[in-house]
Amino acid sequence: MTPRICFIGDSHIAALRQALDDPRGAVYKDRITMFGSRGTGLKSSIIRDGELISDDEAVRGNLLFTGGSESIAIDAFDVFCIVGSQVKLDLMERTLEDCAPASMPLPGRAPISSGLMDKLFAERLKMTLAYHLATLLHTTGKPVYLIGNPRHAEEILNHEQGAFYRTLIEAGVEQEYLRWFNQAFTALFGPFAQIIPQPASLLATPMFTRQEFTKGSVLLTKKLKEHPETDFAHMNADYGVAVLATIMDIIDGDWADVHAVGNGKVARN
Amino acid sequence: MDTPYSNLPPSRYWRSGVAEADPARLEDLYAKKFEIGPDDVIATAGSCFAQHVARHMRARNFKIVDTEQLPDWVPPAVAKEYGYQLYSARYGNIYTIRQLRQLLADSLTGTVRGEDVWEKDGRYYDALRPSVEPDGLDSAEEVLEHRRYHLGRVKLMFEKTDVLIITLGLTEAWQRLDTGTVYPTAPGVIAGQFDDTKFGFVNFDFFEIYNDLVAIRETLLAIKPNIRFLLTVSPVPLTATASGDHILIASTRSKSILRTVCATLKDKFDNIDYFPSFEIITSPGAKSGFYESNLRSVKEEGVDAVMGIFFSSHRPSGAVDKPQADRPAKKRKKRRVEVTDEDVVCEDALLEAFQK
Repeated sequence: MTPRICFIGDSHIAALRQALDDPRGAVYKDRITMFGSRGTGLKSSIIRDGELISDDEAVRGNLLFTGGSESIAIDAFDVFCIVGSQVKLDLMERTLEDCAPASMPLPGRAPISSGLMDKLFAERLKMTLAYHLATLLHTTGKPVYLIGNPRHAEEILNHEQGAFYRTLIEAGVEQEYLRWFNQAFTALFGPFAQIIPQPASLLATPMFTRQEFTKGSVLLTKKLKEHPETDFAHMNADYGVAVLATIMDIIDGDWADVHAVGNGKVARN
Repeated sequence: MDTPYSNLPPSRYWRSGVAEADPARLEDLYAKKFEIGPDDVIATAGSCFAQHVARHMRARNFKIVDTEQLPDWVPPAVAKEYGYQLYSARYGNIYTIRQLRQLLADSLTGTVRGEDVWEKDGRYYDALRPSVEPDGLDSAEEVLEHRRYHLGRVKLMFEKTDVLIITLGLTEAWQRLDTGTVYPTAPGVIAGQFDDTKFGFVNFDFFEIYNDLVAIRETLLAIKPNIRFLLTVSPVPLTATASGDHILIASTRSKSILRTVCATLKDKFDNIDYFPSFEIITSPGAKSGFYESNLRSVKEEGVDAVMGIFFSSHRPSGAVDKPQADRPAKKRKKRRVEVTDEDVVCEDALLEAFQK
């Protein structure tokens, strides 16, 4: 038996949806259902009587459009996988405009302690849709996986939106920032979900996705309209195919491990 | 025949002024000496009761300066845990006037002292504000760097301030014997180690506190010629005393000296006023009802009574009748936060943990 998998998330689920429509991803189509809602709409979701529901009409409409029903029946799935949902590398951009710890010396910022920086990372991550969904879905007792937003495409460095990354790189603190981000992300989400990192083969550097994956990304709308060229955050079907394969390998591997030993419980979550 | 005590208003008689009066609405208790206008920049400092003053004034749109802020998305509970949003800069509780005088002098000269870094379990603390970093810092050098930045922000705060509200808390303190530097906590309470060859107990008297406040006034007048001072005395009794006296004697000594200094300064200087927080909470008419069951912490209704009387006199245009929210600065988004005494950061409460 293979697990029935529910993907849930924000606009970043569009790349995976494209992958399912691609011959390379179609193999998974029968056991995957994808529910998405743009922005932070799914923060309105709760679980009641075995269903993930929202009192937001627009969100219900999005769930119906993407997954075929206005709510998600928890028992219809064996595994949940959260996609994107605001876990993005630049989530501390505004914070680091004002303050920075000693290990990330940025000119003109108020000094803060490493302890406070840990706290701020954690608090900022708690505000994400992913945290809402992970803590919510964790209560179902079913395995929960999480793959955050893709790293921005490297081309962002040549545009205004890349100011944050340029600042880190010019100060020589990008590796330290990345270390901090990964540590905070793992520490906060670890108890609720198994984190799936972005496959290394898709990265140009540890901070950036290879440029080719951002060409032809689509909006999470009925017409799957293309993002503008200056969208360096959303990825295309090629990216989706590679990520989907990675996710499915991990989920199926875990599932097989657990069911081979017959303890009925997924070990890694 | 009339006497000087005939035909006085009800507030001049104990029976009508206190015994039969509503303790939360004492009439004619406070006559302000000066206005606090809508454009006046207000700074607050003092013992932990002062946090209530700052919080209520912010909530009523008074222009409370805050020169050390975190990004506006940070939850207030986290900010307060790290000493933000409590006062007008991140100096924590200032229990004695000597401490305030010292902070003012250090901020104007940019003075930091290596001996004011205390260590505990491999972490390093600013002994002059040890509670602002609950887990300390990574190195002594980092503490000094943070302190340099902090002093710059404190200097900026003083330069901006039109009205400085000081809540006088204690007369007792611990100081370094060689430099006279005064600390908000005894060595060993939060960090550091007590060594009686280095540290000594001091219990400031009337003259010392009076002179310190006069010196603070003169220094700030040189920076801001129109600065005004509003003094209050914290109604929160001492948690513990190192004076050798019974705690009741020690607390009464402390509060009465502080109160007398305030009265003397108010009478002497036009730009110094006194607001009777202490009297409102400790009035026999309140029958200790404004205190929690520990007879020390002030209940929220006690704080409301104090601030209600304050706001009945000080209502600049732009101020609002009812609190807007608990928010640290004008640019912050409104947040509704339930406030309890637990939300007030008070190092001296730690002393109770040391009681055997």
